[in-house]
Order: sequence, then C-alpha cells, then structure tokens
Amino acid sequence: MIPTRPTAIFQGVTNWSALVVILIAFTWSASGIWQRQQAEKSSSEIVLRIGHWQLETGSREAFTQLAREYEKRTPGVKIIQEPVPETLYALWGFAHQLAGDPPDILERGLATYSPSYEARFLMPLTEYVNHPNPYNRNTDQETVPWRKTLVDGMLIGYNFDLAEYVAVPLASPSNRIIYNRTLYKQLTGKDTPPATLEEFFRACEIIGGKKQPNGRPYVPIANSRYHFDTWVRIVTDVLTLPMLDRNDLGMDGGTIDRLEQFAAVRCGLMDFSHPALRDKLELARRIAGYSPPGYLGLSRLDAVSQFIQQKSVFLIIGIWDLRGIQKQAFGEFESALMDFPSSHPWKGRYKDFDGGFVHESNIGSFPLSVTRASKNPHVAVDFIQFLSSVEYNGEFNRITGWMPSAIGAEIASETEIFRRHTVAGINGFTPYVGTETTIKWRELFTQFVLNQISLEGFIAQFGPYYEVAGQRDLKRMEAEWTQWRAEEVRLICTNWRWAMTASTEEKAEAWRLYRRAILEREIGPDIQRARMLGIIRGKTTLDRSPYEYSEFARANIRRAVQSGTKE
Amino acid sequence: MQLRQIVFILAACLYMIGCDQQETLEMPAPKQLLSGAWRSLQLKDFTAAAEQFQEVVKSTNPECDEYLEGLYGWAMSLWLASPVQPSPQAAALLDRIVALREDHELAAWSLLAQARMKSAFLSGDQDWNTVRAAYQKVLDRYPNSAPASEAFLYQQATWLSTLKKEDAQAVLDACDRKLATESDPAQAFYLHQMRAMACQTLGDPVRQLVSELKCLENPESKPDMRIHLTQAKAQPSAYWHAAVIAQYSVGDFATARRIYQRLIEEWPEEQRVLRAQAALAEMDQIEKELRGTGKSELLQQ
Repeated sequence: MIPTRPTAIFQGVTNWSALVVILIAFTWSASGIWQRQQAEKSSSEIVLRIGHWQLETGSREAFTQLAREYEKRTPGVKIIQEPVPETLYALWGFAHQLAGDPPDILERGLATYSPSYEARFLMPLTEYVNHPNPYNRNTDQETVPWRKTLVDGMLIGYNFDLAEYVAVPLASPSNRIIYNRTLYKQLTGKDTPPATLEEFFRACEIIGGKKQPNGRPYVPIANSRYHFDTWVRIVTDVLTLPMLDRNDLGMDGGTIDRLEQFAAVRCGLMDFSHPALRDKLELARRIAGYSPPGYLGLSRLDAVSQFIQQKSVFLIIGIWDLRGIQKQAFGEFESALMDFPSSHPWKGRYKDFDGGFVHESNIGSFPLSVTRASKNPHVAVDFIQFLSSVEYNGEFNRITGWMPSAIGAEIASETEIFRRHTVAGINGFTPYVGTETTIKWRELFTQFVLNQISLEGFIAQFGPYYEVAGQRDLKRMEAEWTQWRAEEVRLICTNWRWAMTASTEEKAEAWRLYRRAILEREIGPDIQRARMLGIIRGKTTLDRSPYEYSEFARANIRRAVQSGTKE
Repeated sequence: MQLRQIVFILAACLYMIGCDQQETLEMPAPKQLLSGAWRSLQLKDFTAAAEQFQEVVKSTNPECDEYLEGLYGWAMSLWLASPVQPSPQAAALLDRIVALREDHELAAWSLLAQARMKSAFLSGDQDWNTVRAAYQKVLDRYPNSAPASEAFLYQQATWLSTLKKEDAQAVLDACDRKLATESDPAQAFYLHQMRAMACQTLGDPVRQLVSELKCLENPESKPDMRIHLTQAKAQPSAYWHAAVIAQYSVGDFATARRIYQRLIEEWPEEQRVLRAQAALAEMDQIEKELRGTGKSELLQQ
C-alpha cells in the first residue's frame, strides 16, 4: 500500500524525534557543564564540590550551614554540595570519575568499590590522618593524630588492600525504636515505654486487640522485609551468644566463622536443637506475629508510612531516618524514642548479663573521600578536617540528628539514646556454609516466622540438610580459597615493595606490616583452616568443647583454691 | 542529511579534538617506571605490570638495581597473573637474578619467591617435600637474611598444617633451637607464634600459654599507627585466646584474670568485653563454691 502524505510526514517525525530529543538534551547538558566550567575558571575563588546521597532531612541543611561557616573562616573558598538520590548515586559517581570531572569530595558508599577503583580515583589520606587535626586546637584532641580522634579510629575509611586511608567518617550509626507516644498512651494507658521484652509483648497484645477508627485492628509493629531483617539482626541474633561456648573452635572470642560452625556441627559439639537457637527463632516469630500481614513483601517506605498513618505504634529505625520521620509526625502525633526492650534470656555463664542488647561496633558512617581529580585536594582535606573536628562535627550532627564520629563532640540530648551499646552480646551462630545452606535457611526461616512450619519441623528439616549440602558448599568454598589466596599473595607482594622502598622513618613499621601480614593473612589462617578441615573430615578429634574445663585445669584450680591463692 | 552522515561528522569532530590534545610523551626514568609497574600490580593489572617491568629491564643494564627489581617484578606479575600454577617463565627470570648477582639482597628474595611459587597454592595431603627443600635452599644459601627468617616460618608452617603430633614436635624443637640464639625480638615473636601453634597440636597448653604470653609482651604485637588491621582485630583476639587457654586448659585463674582485665582496660568498647566480664565472674563463682562446699557445677560445664 502506498502511504498517504500525512502518514509519511508522521513517520518522518517519528524517525527523527528520538535523535532530536537526544541532541537537545546533550546540548543542554553540555552548555550547563560549559557554563559551570567557565564560571569556575573566571572566578578567583576555589570552588569545592561535594557529592553525597544523604537526602534525609537535616543532612543538606547541615552541609549548607557548615559550608557557610567554613567559607567565612577561609575567604576565597566556595563550597557547593551535589546531593544525588541513592538509586543513581553509584552510577553518577562512576560516570563522573570516568569523565575526569568528579566532585572534589565524594561520599564513599552505595557500591562495592574494588581496590583498583579506590586506587585510581580516590586520594590516599594516610599522610594526613597520622597528624593532629588542626581544627582540634584547644581541645583534648589537640595533639592526637586525626584518625584516633574518631570513634572507629577511621577504620571504615581504611582500605586493607591498598593499606591506605581513603575516607573519613562524619557520623556514627545505630538503631533504636521510635514509637507513637500519643497512640501508645491512648491504647495501653501507660506513659512509659516498655523496658523489657515481656512488657513489650504485653503492650503489643493490648495494641493488637484495639481497633482503628476504620474498624480494622491496630498492628503493633510497623514492619517490612528491611525492618524485619533489622529486628532479627539486632534483637534476636544476640540470643545465640551462648552458642559460642560450643562452636568457637578457633577460640578467638569474635563472631562465628562459617567453617568453625560447620566443624562444630560435624564433630557433634553442636546441633540445631541448641536452646539458644530455639530462643532466637521463637523471638523472631513473636515479633513477626505483631507485624502487618504480608510484611515481608512490603518496602521500607511502606513500613514508615504505616507508622506515620498511625496504623502501628512501634517502628525500628536507623538514626539517619530519625529527623525525616519526626518531621512527618510533627503536628499529627507525639513521637518518642525507646531503647530495645531488655531481657534475661541467657543461661549458664551469661545468666547475670542483660540479653537485650547487641554489641554495636564503633564503626563510623557517612565517609567522605577526596577524589584524585580534585584541583584543590589540600583544601578538600582541610574542609573534611573542619567537618570532623570536635567542635564542628558536633554541630554537623546536631543539625542532622545523627551521632557524631568525633570523640568528645557534643551529643544532642535527643540523640543520646542512640549512644552505642558496647558492653553487650554478639551473634554466636551462622547457618551459612555457602549458597545452598543459605537459601535453605532463608526459605525455612520465612516459613517458620509465617507459622507455616513448627519449630521442631524447622530443626528436623534444616539439620540433616545442613550436613549434606554443607559438604557441597564446602567444596565451592575450597575453590574460592584459591582466589582469596591469590589476593593475599598480591597484597603481601605490595607490602613487600613498600617495605623495600620505605623512607628511613617508615621502614621499621613497613617491615612490621609485611611480617604481620604473612602471619595473619597466610600462615595463621592456613593452619586454622587445616584444623577445621581436619575436624570436618574426621581426621582430628576434640576431647572437649573449647570452653569446657580440661581435667588438668580442674585439678590446678582445686589445688590453687586449697592452697588459698587468689590474686 | 542522513543519520549515518551525522554520526560520521560527530565521530570526525571527536577524533580531531582527540588529536588536538595529543602530546609528545617522554620516556619516564626507570625509578618512575618501577613505581608505575608496582602500582599496576597493586591494582591487579598484571599484564600492564609485566609490560612495564619488562620496559624497565630493557631500559637499564644488568649492573643496575633497577634492572634486578624489574626482573623480580616482572616475575611476580607473570606469577600473579596465573598464580595457581608455577610459571616457568617467572622461575627463569628469578633464576636470572640469582645468576647475575648472587650477593644482592634480591637474589635471596628471588630464591624465596621460587619456593613460594611452589607452595602458595598447595594444600591437604600433597607432597610437601619439594617445597620444604626449596625453603631449605634459602636457609642454606642466605642463612642470616630476612628472606631466610621468612622461609623458616613458611617451612615450619608446612609441617604444622599436617596436624600430626610428630610434625608438631619437630616444629617445637626447631623453634626452641632458634629461640635459644635469637636476639631480635621481632623474630622471637614469630617463633613463639609458631611454637604456640605446635603446642596446640601437641595438646600441651602449659607451653602454649607460655608462648602466647611471650607474644603479648613482645613489642611486635603492639604495632604503631599504620597497622590498623593488627590493632583493631588481632590484638583483642590474641588477648582472648591466651586468657581462654589459661582459664579452661591450664586452670591458671590468676593469669586468665590478668589478661581479661587487660582486654577490658585496653579495649573497653570491644565486642569481647561482655564475655570477659562473664569469665571473670565465673572464676570468682567457682572459687567461692570450691571454698564453700568443695564443689562447683560451673567447673563441670
């Protein structure tokens, strides 16, 4: 069929429209970049740009306020922030780095950065962090090296592969519970939040029995997959601490390693009917029971809006969400913060300790890096020093509503409750050897919390599966070790080069780093792995669990008591 | 104008802009080339690293240190590009270093690297004798060098990884012999580390504890500033391990108490603090019960 003239014109327009749109968009963006570059060139000012993805209430305001303060103190410097939505941030950052036009300061996060990415694009800060922060003059931190003035010793900004510091944290994260105080009082008749788990569940029971104005029952806990995972990680996992007495075969006292766990099960030191594991599972199911139907399919924002719409009373939050939620609740209802409800569920040697709190690592957050492409790297570092100093870090976090990363910085009274629990329990169990065991655990755990299988059914299904599939996972793990080993060898090789070429002042330390890396990254782990594999394969037997007194020890202890020695 | 023509014109413009910015590059000095090559190796770009090291070798003469370092780095790049298998080409380059300057420190490191290439990816029940012989070669030819100290540790580790008591006993004896003459505290630290591991296999907690305590007191265990990994993770772990051995395997409550206290004081926010406090409370309770009734259930747990 021969097309009529209007159809042909329409087709022509359709064919070209995409190209025209692209050209217009390209021209518009290019002119924007060109104008900005011209403005920067023509200005005698130093322009510092900061890219970050903290769009929560308060963070942009904090940057603006502190930037103005810095500009006042440092004439000739202008600071521009570029907040970017989370979903675009990683791509945006990569694109700018590759184009050679990244901001001077970039927030590190939201993507897994390879060592080569960080080495290529981020400026090492090691030479700065080992000297005092000049903005800490006249404080207790005046003579302390910069990195030691922050809560985590700047651990989050350290790249182990490069052996360099590449980022500086501005805040310190933790989680707590926010609750609708108006509704809580109205539904339970109480004024103080629940302090123990039993009080918490009693309140949940009362709340769940009351009806909203629309006739539907209240849901005590606003929840989603994201929030439930946080509940599990913070509130339920800690109950497994006593399991470390059976499975910490390496006796390092830290969180459990998947190989240690598998070895403990294989040699019969531990099985899945351990009372602490039962406690954890049952607690998870109780929390799930007070959550909205289908919560595992809900998003993080769904749970927040459920709370804001006053359908629920409790919501677990990260400190970064606090200001935003408070702002949304303002004028609607009174919100308040509470700590996690405590409990005394541990048995045996931990019976006198409070089992409600998980150890919150002193790790920083909101890490800022200086990009290698920055034209003014020293000014960028100086601004980060300003932001992480005792005085201004406290001010920055007072505005954001977060916890400061600088030691000694003032903590706003309303965020005091977010102060980290440091004398607290840790997770003592991991059900994962590799992919197969991980998938199975997650599948059964979901069925269990949704009441689709019983606790006994869970244990009966998972135990035997873990032992068989764990062997297959172990084979895959062994294949991965070769890759890890190659990484270790490369790292040790670069440490060696550093030691060989280090300056006189650095030489001794560089060689020490090299030697320790050999012990801690090669020889030690190899022998530990050989021990665990020996247990798993039945070549080595254990006469007792690691935290059980040996006959020899018992005799010594009795003898010492009889002779009346005690230091 | 056709779409193809537009694309062609745009490409031509881009090409011309690119040409306009070309600059004449000067060949960097060997030292700079070496830095760049090591950087490439650090960034896992082994092909580029091998090429850059090769460039160093080409641009220097065999009398230069840079020439030897170029050969060494080239060999490392070839090996790390495919690390599971020993690389004959890498081995040949390392041989060349030894043949050229046997007295140079890189010759000793080259001999060690050859042993490492044989051993780094071996595991389990494989025949370790060739590997041990390769380490022995370093020990025999360069007995008082840093590579020899390292070769000794790697060699002993091959025995320890068998988990056999007779092998562990041999490691213990070898470490004791070395310790008798070792004056460098740093080396003593590593010898005690190996000794402690051997004692663990032998089921000798008393001697294991002695070595672990020696390590805790050694300056090598308290590195300065830059070694963050060691400070943040290894030290509390070492305290914990020694305290647990003292408490549960040896029954030396006084030592256990002292180490737990140090852990709590030096690392007050560390994740092991609650368990350390629990351990202290448990020891008090046991002693109280033993003094009272002569029995303690906690001791039976």
